[in-house]
Amino acid sequence: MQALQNLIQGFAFSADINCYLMAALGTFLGIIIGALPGLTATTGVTIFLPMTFYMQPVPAFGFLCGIYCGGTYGGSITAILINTPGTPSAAATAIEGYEMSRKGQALKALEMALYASFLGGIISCLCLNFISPIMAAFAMKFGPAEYFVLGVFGISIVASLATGNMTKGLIAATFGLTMAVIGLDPIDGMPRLTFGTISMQNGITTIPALISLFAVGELMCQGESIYKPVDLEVQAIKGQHLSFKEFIQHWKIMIVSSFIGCFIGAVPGTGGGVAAFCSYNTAQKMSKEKEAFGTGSLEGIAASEAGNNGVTGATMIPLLTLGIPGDAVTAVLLGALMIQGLTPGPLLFQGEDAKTIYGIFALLIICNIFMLLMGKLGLPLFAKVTDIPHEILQPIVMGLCCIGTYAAATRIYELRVMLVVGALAFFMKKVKLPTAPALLGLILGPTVEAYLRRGLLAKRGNFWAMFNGRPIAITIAVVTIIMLIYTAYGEIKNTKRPEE
Amino acid sequence: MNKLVKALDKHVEVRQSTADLGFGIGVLLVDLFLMTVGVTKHISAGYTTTYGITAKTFPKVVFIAGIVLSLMLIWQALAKRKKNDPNEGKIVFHLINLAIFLDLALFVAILIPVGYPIANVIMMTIMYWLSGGKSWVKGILMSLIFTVVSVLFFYTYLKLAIPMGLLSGIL
Repeated sequence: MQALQNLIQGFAFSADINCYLMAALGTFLGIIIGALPGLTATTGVTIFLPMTFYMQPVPAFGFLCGIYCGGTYGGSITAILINTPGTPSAAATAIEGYEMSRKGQALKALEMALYASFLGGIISCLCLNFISPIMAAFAMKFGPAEYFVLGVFGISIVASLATGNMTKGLIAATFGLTMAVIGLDPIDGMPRLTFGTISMQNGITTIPALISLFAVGELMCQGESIYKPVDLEVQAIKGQHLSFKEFIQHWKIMIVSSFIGCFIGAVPGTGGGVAAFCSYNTAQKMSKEKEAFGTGSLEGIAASEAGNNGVTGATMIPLLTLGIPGDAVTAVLLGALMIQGLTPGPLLFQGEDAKTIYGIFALLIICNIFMLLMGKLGLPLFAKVTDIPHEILQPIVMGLCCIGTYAAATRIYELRVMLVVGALAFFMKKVKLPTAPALLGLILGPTVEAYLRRGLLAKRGNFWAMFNGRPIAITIAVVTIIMLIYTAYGEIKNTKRPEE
Repeated sequence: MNKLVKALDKHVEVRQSTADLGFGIGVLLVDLFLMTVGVTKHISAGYTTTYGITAKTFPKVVFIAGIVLSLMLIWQALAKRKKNDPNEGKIVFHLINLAIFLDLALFVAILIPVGYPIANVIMMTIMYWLSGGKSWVKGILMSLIFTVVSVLFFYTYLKLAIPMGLLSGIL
């Protein structure tokens, strides 16, 4: 009941034309970005983040959450029409959607994707609203030991699950942690690894780092796509509308998939792609028409889209209550929260900050409503997005990266950081190192260090004593160690197998 | 494809395991440097050195983790090379990747002396050409429109101190 009251208060707090305009603009841009192959919701949130520096927190987050929700849905448009998922989380949608388009049922597929995305998004927002306060109340019991192991857990789980190679994921995380060490030490304020320069005392700031990791590195890699032109067979939006009966026939799978998405979203390190495929596989197992999967099944589209949009709200549960981002896009949102002066954690749900948080929850629901309206009315327009030439899009994204980075602090230093980290991100992408753990390491590094040092100082330098009488910390630490050993064992087995 | 893109159509191909090996050695060398020279010369212990916990403690943990992980990557890469798998993936480094980086570096280098509007138009026009654009007019027009909109938003509306360089007297 309290959660419902909080949500109503959130609606009242965000009932402002500015908030709604920003949410609508964000959703619109998000759908366009999602529909563009090569650009993801993460890239979208990253390149438009600097526009929010001077906004109030609620409209700023309405804008960013709109890009996130719209971007997650937008990927399905190109997946269905050109068999190229705009985002990785729409890959499962492409399997069924494109087959339907080829049969002249593109409109039906697109409408199912839209309604399933909406339903998944709404259920995810409600989960966020109802579960977050409970998690936050639980997190109030946490001390330095819990926060330290949670940080380590967050970084290592994302590093080991973000890619097929745990070593590479963890190396990426150490890059982030190394970047976090540069600058002034969080306890004493002593300069570290500044090599005698004053500007480096600022450290590696979040904005240039995340723009470099998610946009500049990607742009450098995409430059070579000009030598591999792809002839896309674009299907027309035609056929019959989705009937109410067809929608209702799939309600069960949409609800199940939405909850799968919520569950997966709440686990750090997974994300929309995993949720979409898990939901798709579940739908296939539950279906009475298993043979229809792969040949253009509405059920498959419903499951995949409800699953990937089911992640959007749920990924914010660990982000807002514990300060642990669930995936790359929430890692960017964590940076955005900090820029707005909001420190993620249980205290965010108390006092004045609580109003802002519930306002953001309400706007997230509104973003989903905007997504439904825009998707319904603007489908032909969004489908045209694929016609935007590469030579126009690339310079615009690059321009946004540059001005956004400079606007972060109006210093040339940030642009230099962008250049260096951008080159690093390019090499990381080339050798298949994930960039999300690096950002997590950079963002969570100072927190992990501060809690570790505080915990150690309180226990006279005895690391193990930090865990005395802390069952939650021990449980998280044990889970982290088991998960790392399990992943490492699998990797060693894979490395040795062919030789045997 | 325009002439510039055609001229830049050069690339180097390396095996995934070779790239991993090179990357692993690079990470190992950087972490060894940071662990030795970095920790001793560029990080001071700080004021709160109680119970042996100093400003160096956390960096040391990170660098040791980096050394261990880079050794693991090197071992994995060597194991992969030993297998000599003909289906092993290849990594291609194109000259155009470097050209995009240099375009960005040029923007950073000239931003203060010439100012944002000119630097941005130059950077975006070059980027337009590197992305396969063929019309000078279209490229410059697109760059100009973007620059005008961003100057209006960041400089005029948000009052950010964007360097105007050569145009500072005019704008």
